[in-house]
Amino acid sequence: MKKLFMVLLLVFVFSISFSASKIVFWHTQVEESRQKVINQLAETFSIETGIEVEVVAVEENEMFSKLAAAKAAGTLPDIIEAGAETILSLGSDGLLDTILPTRFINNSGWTFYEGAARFVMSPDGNNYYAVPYHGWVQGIWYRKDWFEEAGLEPPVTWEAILNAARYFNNPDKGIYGIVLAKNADSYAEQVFTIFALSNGARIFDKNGNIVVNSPQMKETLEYYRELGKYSAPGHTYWKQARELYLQGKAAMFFYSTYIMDDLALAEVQTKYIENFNPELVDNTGFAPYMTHSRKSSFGQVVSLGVLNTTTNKLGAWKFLNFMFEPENYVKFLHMAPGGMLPTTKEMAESEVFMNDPKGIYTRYGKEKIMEIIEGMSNVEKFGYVAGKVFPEMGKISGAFIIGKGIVKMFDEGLTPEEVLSFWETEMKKVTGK
Amino acid sequence: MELSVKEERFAWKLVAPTIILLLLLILYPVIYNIYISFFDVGITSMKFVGLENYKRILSDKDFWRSFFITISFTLLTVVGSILLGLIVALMMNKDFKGRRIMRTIILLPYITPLISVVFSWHYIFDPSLGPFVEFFGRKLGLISTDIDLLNNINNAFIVVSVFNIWRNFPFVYLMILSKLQSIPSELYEAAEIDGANAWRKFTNVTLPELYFVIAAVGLLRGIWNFYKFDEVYLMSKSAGTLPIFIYERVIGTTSPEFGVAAAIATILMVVMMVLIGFYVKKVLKW
Amino acid sequence: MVKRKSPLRKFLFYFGLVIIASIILIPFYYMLIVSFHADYDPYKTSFNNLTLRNYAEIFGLIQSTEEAFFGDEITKRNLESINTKLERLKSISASKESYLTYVEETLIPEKEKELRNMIELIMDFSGLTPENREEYLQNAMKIGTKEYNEIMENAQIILSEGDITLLNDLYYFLNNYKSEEFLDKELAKVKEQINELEEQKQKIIAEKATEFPFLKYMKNSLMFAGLGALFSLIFAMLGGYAISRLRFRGKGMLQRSVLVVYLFGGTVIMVPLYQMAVKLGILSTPFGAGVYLIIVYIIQTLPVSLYMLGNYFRTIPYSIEEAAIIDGCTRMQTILKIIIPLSAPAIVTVYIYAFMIGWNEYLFASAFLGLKSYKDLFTLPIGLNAFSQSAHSVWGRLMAASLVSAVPIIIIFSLMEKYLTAGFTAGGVKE
Repeated sequence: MKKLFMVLLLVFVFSISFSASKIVFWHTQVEESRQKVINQLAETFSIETGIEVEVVAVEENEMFSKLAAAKAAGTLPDIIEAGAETILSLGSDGLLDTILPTRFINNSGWTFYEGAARFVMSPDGNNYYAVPYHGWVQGIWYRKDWFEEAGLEPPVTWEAILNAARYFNNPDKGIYGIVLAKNADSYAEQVFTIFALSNGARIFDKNGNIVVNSPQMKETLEYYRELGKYSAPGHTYWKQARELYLQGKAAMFFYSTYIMDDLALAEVQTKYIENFNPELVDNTGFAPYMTHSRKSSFGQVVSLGVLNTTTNKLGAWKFLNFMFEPENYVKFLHMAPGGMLPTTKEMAESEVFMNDPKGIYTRYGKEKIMEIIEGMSNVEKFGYVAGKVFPEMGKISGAFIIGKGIVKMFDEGLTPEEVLSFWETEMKKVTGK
Repeated sequence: MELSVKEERFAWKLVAPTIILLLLLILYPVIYNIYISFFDVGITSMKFVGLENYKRILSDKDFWRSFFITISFTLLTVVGSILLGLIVALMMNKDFKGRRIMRTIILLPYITPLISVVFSWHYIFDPSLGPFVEFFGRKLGLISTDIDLLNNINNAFIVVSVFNIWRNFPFVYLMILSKLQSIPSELYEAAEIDGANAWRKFTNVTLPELYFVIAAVGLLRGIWNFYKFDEVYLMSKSAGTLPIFIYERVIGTTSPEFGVAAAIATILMVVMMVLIGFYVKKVLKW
Repeated sequence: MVKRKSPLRKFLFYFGLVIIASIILIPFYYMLIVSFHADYDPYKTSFNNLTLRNYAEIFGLIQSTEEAFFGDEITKRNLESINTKLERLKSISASKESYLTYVEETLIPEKEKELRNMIELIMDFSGLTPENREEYLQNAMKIGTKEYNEIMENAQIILSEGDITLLNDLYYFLNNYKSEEFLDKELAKVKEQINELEEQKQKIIAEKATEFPFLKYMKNSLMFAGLGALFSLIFAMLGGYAISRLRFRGKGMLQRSVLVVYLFGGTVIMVPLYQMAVKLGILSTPFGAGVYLIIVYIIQTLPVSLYMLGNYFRTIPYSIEEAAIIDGCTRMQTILKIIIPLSAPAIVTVYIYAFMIGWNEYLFASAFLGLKSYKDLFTLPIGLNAFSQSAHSVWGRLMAASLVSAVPIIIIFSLMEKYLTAGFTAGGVKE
C-alpha cells in the first residue's frame, strides 16, 4: 500500500515537472476521428517548431469543472478551444488573456468575420477573449418533398411551423410532425433561443437586468407548449431528432449544419438497407432563420482562447499562427464538413475549403454555403444585446436552466407563468443578481 | 503460551492487508464523510459551516421528494422481488420436464452484466420507437402513444422498479429455493394426515419455515436497493432516488457541492441504521 | 412426492412457466434482433434485412460505414497538409543556394514580423508604453540596445524558459543567418524535419480511427476486473485462513466489521473517496486513476470474498493440515500446499464473483475515469454508456456490443452453475 502511494506520488510529481516546457491544449472535439486529426496537427506543429503540445479532449459540458479542478491542482492548460458561452464565462471570471487574442485578430493578417468576432468581444468592446476559429448555424431541417406534396410553406414562420407539425403528426403510425427539444440540456436552450428571439423575448435588457419574465417570453412558451403536442414524445434531444428524421419518421427537426455530413452518410448507407430513402439529401430543405415578430437565427462560434496563467505566451502565439495557416486550417475544418465553417474571409472564399473530402460543399454549391457562412453573422444569442455582451449568460447556460424549465413544463405540467418565475429565480440565483 | 503468541502474530500478518484496506478505504471515508458534511467544500477551499448543510437539505423540497421516491422504490422492489421470487421458487421446487434449462433461464437477468440489459430495456420503452408503445399503444390502444415511461420524472421510478424486480428476483428465488429444499417432508406428511389442503399446507408449513429466510432476504435487498445507484441511474436519470441526487451534486455537475453531498450521504446512512435496527428487532426478533 | 395432477392444473403450471420465461427473455430477444439490423433501419424488429455488420464492426473486422466510403479520401486529405509542407521543405533544401534565397526572400521577413509581434506582445504584457512605439520597436529588435535589455528583463519575469529560448533563437537567427556555419546547421534541421514529417506520414497511413473501440473497452474491463479480483482473492485467502484456523484478539471484531462493510453501498463512500482522490491529485494522471480504481475494486469485493473463503476453509478437516505440520511444513507452506489445492472450487467461485462485480461496476469507474475522460482506460460499462450518448450510437451497434459483453459472463456461469449457485446461497453477492 505504502509503496503504491509512493509510486503514485512520484508519477504525479514527474507529470508536473515535465509539463512545464510544453503547451497544453484542451479542445472540445471529443469524437475519436476528430481527435486523431487534432493530434496529427499537434505533432506536425512540434516537428515544425520544436514545441511539444499535449492535447486533451474535454466534453464541452465539463469544461468548467475540469478547469476549476485544474486550477486547484495548478495544471491549467495554455490554450483551449471552446464555444462562445464557455469563453464568455471564463473571460468574465478573468481566466482568459485578452492581449494575445486581440493582437492576433488585429495583426495576424487574416480578415475575421465581424459577426463571428463579436461573440468573443469583452464587454467594453475593445478587447477579445479569444480568436474565433470555426462555427455552425442551426435551423430547421425539413422534408422538402413532403412539404411540396402537401402544398405547405417552408417552416420559417411560427404559423408555418405549427401548421406543418399539425399536418404531418400521426403518432399512431409512428410519424411525428416535429422533434422538439424537451430535455434539460444545452440543446433545449439552443432550440428555444431562436423561438424566443424571433418573438423579441430576451433574458437581459441592455443594462444587464434580467427581464426573462416578459409577455413575449410567455407567448413563446405557450407556443412551444402547443408545438410540443405535435412532437415526438419524451425527453427528446438531438439524438432522437436525428435518428427519427434519418429513419423517415419526422417531418422537421432542429439541427446544426453538422447534419449535412450525416445526411450524406445516410445516403451511402442505402447500400445496406433497401427500404431506405436514397434521396434524403435532395429531399431535405434547410430553414436557417425563423420569423415571428422579427427575424432571427441561431448558431455557435467556437474559439481558441489563451489562459492568462500561461507563461508559454510566445509558444501560444506560434500555435495560433500555425492553426490559421491555410493548409492546417483547412485540415481542421474538413474534419466535419458543414459543421465547421471558417471564421476568416480568406478561408471561406478559398477553393481548397470548398473541396471537402466527402464532396458535401460541392453538392450544396458555393452560393448556398456562402449564404450559410454569412448567416453566421446574423446569429443572435441571449448574451448579446444591442452590441453589449453579458458574460453572465455563460452561467445560465452552464446550469441548463432553460432546459430544466422546459422539462418542468412538459413533465410536471407547469404553466408558462410558473416556468417564467422558475427561470427568473434560478437565473437571478446563478448570476448573483 | 509461546505458541499462541506466535500464532497470533502470524494471524495478524495474514489479515494485515485486509485490515489496512478496510481502515483506509472504508472506515476512514465513512468518518471523513461525516466530517466534511459540516463544511462548505469547494474545489480548493474548505469552510466550517456547522449544521448549515443539513439545514439546507432538510428544508429542500427536492430532497424530500427524492427521499420519498427512494423509500417507495425500496418498498416496491423488495415486496415485488420477494413475491415473484417466492412464486418462481415454489414452481421450481416441483419436478417437471425442462427444469434444467428453466433454472438457467431464471438466473439470466441476475448474472448478465447490467450494462448489457439496460439498453435493451431502453429500447423496449423508447417512447417513439419502442415495441412497448408499438404494441400496447398503437396496436391495442391501451395506453397513450405520447407517453414517456422512461424519462418523465413523474413515472420514471415505476419502470426503474420493474426493472429492478426483474433483475433481482432470481437472487430471492435462489435463497428461498435452497430453504424450501431443506424443509423435512415429514412436516408435510403430518399436515396431510391432519387433512390439510394445498393452501393450508402452504400457510401452515411452508410459510413459517420460510419466514426467517424471507425476512433476511428482505433486509438484504432493502439495504442494497436503498443505496442502489447504477441500476437506477443507467435505467433512467429522471428516477430521482437519493443516490442519484448525490451523484448529480458531485460528479454530474459543473460546481460540485461535496459538503452537501456528504451531508445527504450521512443522513442516508443514519436513516438506514435506524431502519435496520428496527427491522432486526421487530421482524427478525434477534 | 410424486402426485397425480389434473390436466388443467398441469396446463396452468406450464403456462405460468412460459409466461415467466418470456418475461425474462423479452429483453434478450430484442437485444438479439435489433443487433442484426443496420444503422438507420426503420424496421428494427422485423426479420427482413438482417445483417451481421454490427458484429463485424465492433470486432474491427470491417470499417464503419463512414470509413468504408470516405476513409481513403479522408486519409488522403489528412496527408495533404503534410505533403504541402514536405514539398516546400524539399524544394528549399535542394541546394545551399536555393536555401539561401529562400532565407533571404521569405524567411527573414517572416521572422522579422514574428519577432516584432513577439516584442509587442511582451510590451503589452509587461505594460510598457514608450512615447514613440515605433522607434522603441526598431531598437528593441537589435541586440544590445537599451530597449532590447528592457524587453529581455521583462521577458524573464513573464515568460517560461521555453519561450525565452524561442525568443533568443529568433534573435540569433536574424543576426547570424549570413554565416556559413549557421546556414549548414539550419539546413540540417530542415532535413531532419523532412525525415520526421515522412515518418508522421507513414504513421497517419497506418492508423485507423474507430468511433467505438469496443475491444479496447473489453481489454480494460478484463484488466480492472481481473486485477481487482486477483488481489482481492489473495488477501481473502490469507485473511480467510487466519479467521478460520487461528485464534487472535480482535478476530470477532474483524468478522463483524467485514459484515458491516458488506452492507454499505458505494453511494456512501463515493463522495469521500472521490474527494480524497481529488485532494491527493491521484486522478490527474491516467495511471493514478487506474490504480485507484483497482484498489477500490479490491475493497469492494474483499469483504464478501473473505467471508466466503473463511467459511469454506472451516470445512477442510484440520487433521490433514496437522499431518503436514508434523512432517515439518511451516504454516505458510500448509496454506500453499494443502489449503489452496483443496479449496480450488471455492477459490474459483470467489474469483468469478469478484470478477463479475468489477465487470459490472459503473459508479466508481465513471467517477474516476469518466470525469477526466481517460478514454483509453474506459471500461465496458462507461464506454458503452458514453457511446450510447454519442452521435454514432445506433441501436444495432449498441445491442451487438451489449450482447458480446454479456456472452463471456453467461458462458462462464452456465459452465459453473452448480458451484456458483451454491455460492450465492452461502453468502449472497454483494452488489
